[in-house]
Amino acid sequence: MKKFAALFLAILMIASLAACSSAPAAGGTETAATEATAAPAGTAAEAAAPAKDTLIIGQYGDTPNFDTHDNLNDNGMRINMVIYDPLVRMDNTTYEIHPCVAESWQISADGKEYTFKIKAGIKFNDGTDLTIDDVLFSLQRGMEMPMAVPSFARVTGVETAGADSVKITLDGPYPEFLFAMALPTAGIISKAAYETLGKDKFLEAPVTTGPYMVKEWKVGEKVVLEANPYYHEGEPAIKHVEWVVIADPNSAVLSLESGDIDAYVDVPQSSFARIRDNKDLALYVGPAFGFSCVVINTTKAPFDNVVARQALAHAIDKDAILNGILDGNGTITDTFALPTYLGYTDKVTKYDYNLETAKAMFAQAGVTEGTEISIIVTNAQQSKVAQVVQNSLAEIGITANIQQLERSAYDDACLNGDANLMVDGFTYTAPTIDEAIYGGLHSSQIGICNHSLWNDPATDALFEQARASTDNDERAAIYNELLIKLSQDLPIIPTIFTTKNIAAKAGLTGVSANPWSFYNLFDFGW
Amino acid sequence: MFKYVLKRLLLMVPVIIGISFIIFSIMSFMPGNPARLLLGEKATAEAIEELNEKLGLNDPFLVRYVNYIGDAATGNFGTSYRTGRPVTTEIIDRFPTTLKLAIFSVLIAVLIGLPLGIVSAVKQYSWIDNVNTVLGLGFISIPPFWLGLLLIMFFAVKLRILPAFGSDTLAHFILPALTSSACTFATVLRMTRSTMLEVIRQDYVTTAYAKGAAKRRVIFYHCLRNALIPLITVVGVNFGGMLGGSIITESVFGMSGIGNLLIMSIRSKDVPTVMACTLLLAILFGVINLIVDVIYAYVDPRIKTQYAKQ
Repeated sequence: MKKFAALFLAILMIASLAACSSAPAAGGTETAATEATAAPAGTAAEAAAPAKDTLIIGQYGDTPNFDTHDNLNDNGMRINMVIYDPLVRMDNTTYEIHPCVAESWQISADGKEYTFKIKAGIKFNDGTDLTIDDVLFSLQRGMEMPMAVPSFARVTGVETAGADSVKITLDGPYPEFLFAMALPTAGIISKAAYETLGKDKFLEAPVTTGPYMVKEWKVGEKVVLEANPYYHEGEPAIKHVEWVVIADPNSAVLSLESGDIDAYVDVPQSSFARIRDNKDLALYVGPAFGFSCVVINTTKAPFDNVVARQALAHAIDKDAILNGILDGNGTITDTFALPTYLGYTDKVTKYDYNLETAKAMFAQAGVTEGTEISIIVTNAQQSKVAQVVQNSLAEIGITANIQQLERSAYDDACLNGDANLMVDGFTYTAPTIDEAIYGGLHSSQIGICNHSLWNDPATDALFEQARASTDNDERAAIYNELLIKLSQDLPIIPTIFTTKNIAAKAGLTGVSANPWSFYNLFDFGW
Repeated sequence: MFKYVLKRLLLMVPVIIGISFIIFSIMSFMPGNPARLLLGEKATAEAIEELNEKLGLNDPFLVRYVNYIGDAATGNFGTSYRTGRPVTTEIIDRFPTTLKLAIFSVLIAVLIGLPLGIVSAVKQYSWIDNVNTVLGLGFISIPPFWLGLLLIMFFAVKLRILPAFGSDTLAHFILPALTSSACTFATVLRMTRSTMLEVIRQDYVTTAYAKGAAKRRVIFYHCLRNALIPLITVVGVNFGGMLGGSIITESVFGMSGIGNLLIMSIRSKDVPTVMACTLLLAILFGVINLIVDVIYAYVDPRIKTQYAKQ
C-alpha cells in the first residue's frame, strides 16, 4: 500500500512539475514548433496566415449592457469604448485630446462653455448620416442618465450653435472636461434608430459611429464585434473582435500562452515575470489615473490629532508595500500628483519610514502603548497593505484590528466614520490634481466619497480658487500650495501610484497601456 | 406511487417559500446598498436616492417580499439590478452551459468511478484496489482550481490538443468536466467499493455462488443492484449541487454558467437574480431528490412494495 501511495504521489509530482515548467522555460522554440503542428483552438493556423484580421481579447467579466449612458462597469466601458465614438479621444501615453466626432473645439474665456464643431461626412454603422440633432440628442440623453455622471456631472445645458456645432455649458470652469467627453460614457448614438427601434431593440446592436459594431453577445461569455464599414477614420485593421470573459486571471495567462486568446487586459502582477520571459508575448504597463493610499478618519481619536497622523505616516513602509505586495509595479509617492500633472511640487513634507520617530510622535500626540485602532479594507490586496501597517504599529505598541468588508458595507462604514483607517485607492478621469483628490477631500463630498471626513475651509478654498482660474500658472501655484498643505495636514497618506497593463501576443501592433484601461481597438493591428 | 409523488411535490411549496424568505431577508438586511454599488463611489446622495426609488428599494421589507413572491408566482422574477435585463433571460442564457457541464461531469464520474469501485471490491487488497484507493484519496483532496489550471497547462499550453476556455463546442467541455467531476468520481469510487464489499459478504451472495451462478451474474445482478441505492443518492446530490453551478470551474475555464451569475449577483447585491437562482436551485434539488426516490423503487422492489402499501 505504501509503495503504491509513494508511486502515485511521485507520478503526480512529476506531472505537476512538467506542466508548471512548460511555458517560460520552453520559450520560443518549443512553442513555435507546437504551433505549427496542432491547432485545436483555432489558433495555430494564425502562424501561417499572413493577413490576420481577427482579435480575441480577454477581460475578467462581462458587460451588463451596451448602453453608453447606463454602464459604469469597467468591462462594459471597455466594450463601449469601441462600439461608440465620443466627441474626442485621449492619447494613451501623452494624454493629449484628439478630435473624433468633433473635429475642433473652442473654450469660452470663463471656461464654462465648450463649443464642438462636428466633423462632416460621418456615417452611422447602418449607413445613415450623422447630423447635429444626433449629437444633441446623445448629449441630452447623457445629462439625464444617472450612470453617465463621469461625463456629464457638471454639464448644465446643451444646445446647437449653428448648423455644425454644439455648445455645452458647465456649472463652472472645468479644465478636465475634455477628458470627461473622451470617456465611453459620452458616446454618440443615432437618434432616428433609437426612436424607431425603441431602447431595448436599439441596445441589442446600437447604431453608432464607432469603429466596431455588435454582432453577437453570448451573455457571460463573449461579445463578438465586427468592423464598422462606414467608419469615418478609415477601415479598422482588425475586422473581427471577440471580447471574451475569463474570470480567473491565472487561466487567462495560460490561455495567452496556449494561443487561445491574443490579449488580456490587466493581468495579475504575479504573472508579469512569466509573460516577460515568453518571447511570443508582450506586456505593456503604464501609469493608471489612480493611486493607493491610507485614508484617515480625521474625526475619530487618536487621528483627529495631526501629530498622530504624521506619526502614522512615519510608520507606513511604502517600500514593503511596493515590493512585497505589488511586485515593484507602481511608483512610491509622497503626494497626490505625478510630475506630469499641472501643479505638481516636490516641496511637500515627506515622511520617511522610521518607527523611532513614529513612536516619539505618537507619544507626543498622547497615543500610549496598548492603544487599539481599527483598519477596514475591501479586498485581499488592501488587506495585505493593512497587515504591513499593522506590523509596523505592533512594533511601537499599537494594536491595529483589520476587518475586510464587502464593498457596499465598506462604503457605508467609511461614510459613517466607523473605522480609524481605510486602506483604499482613488481612480479618476483626468491626470489633474482636482480630479485626483477633490472627491476625497472637499467638504462638499462628505457623505459621498470624502471618507476621511476632512472638513477644512482652507482646503475647500484652494480647490475652489483653482477651479475658478483659467490661468494655468495661477492654478499651478494654487495646487502647489494645496499639496504642501495636505502633506502637513495628512487627511490621506498617499502611498503608491498604480499601473494598468495589457498583455498581448508579440505580433499585435499599436498596443500601449491606457490609464483608464479602456482600449481603442481601432489602433490595433497585426 | 402517483400519490406519493404528488405529495412530495406539494411539500416542496412551503420549503421554497421558506427558502425565499430566508434569502430575501439575508440580501435585504446585509449592510450596503445596491444603488451605491451600481453608481460607484462618487455617486451623489440624490442619484442614489433616485436609483433606490427606481429599483423599489425604498418600500418596507415585507411589502417588497410580498410583491416579489406575488410576481414570482406568476413567473415574473423581475429585472436584474446589475444588467437591467429580465432575470429569466439571464438564467435561460446561462443554464444550458451549467446543465451540460453537470451532465458530462456526472457521466465521467459514474462511467469511470463505478467500474473501478466494483473492481476494487471484487479484488479487495489487490494492487488495483490499492491504486484505486490512492486515486480516490487524491481526487477528493485536490482543489478544483489547481486541477483545472494543471489540466490547462498540460492539454492546452503544452500539448495544444484542447481549448483552454469557452463553451462553444464539445471539446470545450472536456477539461471543465474532468475538473468538476474529480470529487464526484472519487466519491462514487469509494462509495461503490464500500457498499459492494458489504453486499459481497451477504448470505444470499454465497447462496447464489452455491447454486452455481456465474461470477459475472452474481456481481452485476445480485450484488451491484443492491449496492446501487446509496450510490444513486450520492450521484443525485452531487448532480443537484452541480446544477447550482460550479463557480470555480466556470471561472477557471471562462464559462458562463449559473455559478458565475450567482456570485456576481451576490457581490452586486442584485436581489432579483440571487433570489431567482436560489429558487431555481431549491426546486431542482427538490425534484432531483424526488427522482432519486422514485428510481429507488425501480432498483429495489422492496421499496416499490412499500410505496404501494402507502
